[in-house]
Amino acid sequence: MKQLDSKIISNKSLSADFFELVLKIPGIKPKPGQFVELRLTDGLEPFLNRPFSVAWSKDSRIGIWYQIRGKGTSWLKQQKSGKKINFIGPLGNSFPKLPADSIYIVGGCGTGPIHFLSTVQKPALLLIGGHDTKHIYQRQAFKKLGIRTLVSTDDGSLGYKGLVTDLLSQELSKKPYKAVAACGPERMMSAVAKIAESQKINCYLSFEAYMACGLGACFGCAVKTKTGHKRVCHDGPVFKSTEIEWTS
Amino acid sequence: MDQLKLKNKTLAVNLTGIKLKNPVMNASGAFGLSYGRLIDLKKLGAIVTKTVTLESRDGNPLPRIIETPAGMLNSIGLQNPGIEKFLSDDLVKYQKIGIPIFVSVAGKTLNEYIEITKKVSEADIAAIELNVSCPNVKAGGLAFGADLKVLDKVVSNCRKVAKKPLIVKLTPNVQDIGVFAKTAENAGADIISLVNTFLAMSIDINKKIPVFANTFAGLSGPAIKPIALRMVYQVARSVSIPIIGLGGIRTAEDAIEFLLAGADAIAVGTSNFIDPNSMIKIIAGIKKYLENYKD
Repeated sequence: MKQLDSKIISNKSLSADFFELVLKIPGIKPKPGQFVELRLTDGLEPFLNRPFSVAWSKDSRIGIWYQIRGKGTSWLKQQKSGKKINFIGPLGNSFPKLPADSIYIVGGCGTGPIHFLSTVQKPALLLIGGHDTKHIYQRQAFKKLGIRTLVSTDDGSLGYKGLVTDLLSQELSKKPYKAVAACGPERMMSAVAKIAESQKINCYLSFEAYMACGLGACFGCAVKTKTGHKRVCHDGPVFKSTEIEWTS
Repeated sequence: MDQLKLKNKTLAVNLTGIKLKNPVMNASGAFGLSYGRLIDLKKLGAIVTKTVTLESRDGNPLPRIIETPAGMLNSIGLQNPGIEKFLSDDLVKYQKIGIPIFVSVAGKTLNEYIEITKKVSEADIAAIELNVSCPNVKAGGLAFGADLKVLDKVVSNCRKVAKKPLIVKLTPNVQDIGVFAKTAENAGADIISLVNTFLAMSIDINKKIPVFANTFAGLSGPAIKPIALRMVYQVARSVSIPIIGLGGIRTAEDAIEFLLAGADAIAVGTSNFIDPNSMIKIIAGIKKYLENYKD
């Protein structure tokens, strides 16, 4: 773990609302599931640093995929190559070693962690779900890794018409898979967990949370588990689904 | 106007017998041992632990934090493993660092404050910090430190059983902070630390409810600095015991303001979140200021 002023190698848009920031971070080797904290201002607004998952890591560079959400990411979008951004990382835990016969699931903009995981451990199958075609991100990136991918959209504009969790149930009924890894909206991950657990399959979920310190000190980023609140930044972001106490 | 003076012209300070190599420490709850992976903890003047309670506490439901202009609101709820686990598992990690350790404690009742002070007194630590910003469950939730009579009772009772120097960390949510500081001093406090967070809130305009489950939350960060500084100035003119000043300190300049206001030492809380190296930079800045200081 280091804190440093990392140099922007590139900062490009991959699609209308999806961007890739490449940072030079010498001597830092993140693992899939880990995240970093970036200071998205030269001043005090926005005040807190922002956590970002690592989407890929190669040599002394990491790739971060982001969307525009507010002041911080709007500022980030404007930053050019050569600019230095204060960086803290890598932070958090990482995905455990998964069996080859695994399914990975991505919902919405949860692509980063699962993409990084895929570069290190290819799944037997990848499911990507989104509202419509516009909200299916980075299919090409996964295609480059040679991963068998199925897509689902709520409106049926691309792939299977329906929820990615229905697609998951369908695929699980076709053949036995040994593990599931997922990242996406909480209600999606909760449904994935239920399905995986009903089939007694190990399921690992990558959470996100509003964070202050990112280092496990402030207890602000808690998630409810069966053994009390745990810190997403320190005990996670990756949790085994059976640990989680779903709030809804 | 008469110039303000530093109480200490050296980097090293002596707080009622506790020797610190510099006047900089962290604020309780805004730091942890994990920072040791980014900075050399041995460089700090002292470390203050997160508040420990008799029983383990799971803390408040989410959301626990939100950002505000130059600050943040928090309603963590004192999540901590409880005194037994703290003494058996966590304390030794702090002691290994080799700098003075101040253990922050709190309770839901007067008896809990007394009990935990007793337990912590047996440990090899430099001082006990009483967090009196906790709601007094037997008094409708008003903070222990927000009622003069209650504050007096807590401090004097803990003083009787504490075998270590007692720091009383004041809540700023009172009308006249000087009077509260004086009360704590008279009741036996060895050191006063201030400020804890300011009572505040945020409302979700879409859900049309307060953001925090407990309605109110604590405001901290640079936004509160001018008020915290004013309070330290007032307390310095109300008590003669040492003072640890905190509240929005981010830079060495901020820290020096507090020292000139009358603090003997300072603490950094929220700024650690935006820059883990804050305290290291502040120590260097104070050192430089002292080299040129004349009075």
